[in-house]
Amino acid sequence: MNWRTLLESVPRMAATEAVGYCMSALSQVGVPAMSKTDYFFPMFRSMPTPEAVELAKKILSKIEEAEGKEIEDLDTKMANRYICELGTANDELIERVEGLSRERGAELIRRLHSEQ
Amino acid sequence: MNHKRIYYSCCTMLAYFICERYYGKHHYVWCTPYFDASSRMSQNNCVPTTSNPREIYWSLRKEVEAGDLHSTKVFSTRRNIQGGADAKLSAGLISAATHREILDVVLRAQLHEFKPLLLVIPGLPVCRLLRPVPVSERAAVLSEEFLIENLPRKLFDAIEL
Repeated sequence: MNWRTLLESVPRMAATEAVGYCMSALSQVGVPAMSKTDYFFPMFRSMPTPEAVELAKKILSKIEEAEGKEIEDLDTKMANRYICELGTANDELIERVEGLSRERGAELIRRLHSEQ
Repeated sequence: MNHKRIYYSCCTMLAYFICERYYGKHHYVWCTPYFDASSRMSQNNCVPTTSNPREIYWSLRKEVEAGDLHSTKVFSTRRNIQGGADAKLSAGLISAATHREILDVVLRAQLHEFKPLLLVIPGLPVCRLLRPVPVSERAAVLSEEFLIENLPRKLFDAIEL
């Protein structure tokens, strides 16, 4: 599925937030009902933003539509595949943030290892 | 209820590094008072596997060591760090330059940067920082799970098993 268009329909930060909620929902597939948690849990006080919640619901309903079943009825393998797809689409979106530098990232990672 | 007042958490090397370098050595920690809640040596408790620090540590370690490029935990961790940086930028807690550096690091991080770390947190010094996780968020209603949003590095030990 092409997630890029959908993610690009909102500001980048809202898209990343929405992907987080979807990952949280998808990672609960196969978890016993009594252990499931609210996947819109605000990790930080400023969240959840309405834009991100709306986008997350849209993404999850697209998955349900494509698979012909509700999220909780997906099998784990399928849910994991969607987590990877969404993660990849989110990374591609972040790659395009202005001012990012591959070289700087690589250098900082090198420093991380030398400081350990 | 566990009264021994030691809390355990699991994070990744990458998240640890980001907190140390960019967030003033303050860490965002989700913890429980059991290292291995399912062990018969632990008191009776309701902490489920999904929140069990020992389980989280070893499952992540196995995925990293197996070179699993499609590890969902790695995708989730990467996104959580990105989301955390976004939230801190929006709250004015970090500069745009710092935010860009964090995104750079996370995008370039390789699988081995996601190796797990076990955090051991003595309870007394952090008693005012502990916030019970809301019931709707716990992996089990009676599970003892806590959140520390800004845990100073000097208040915990970080261990590789």
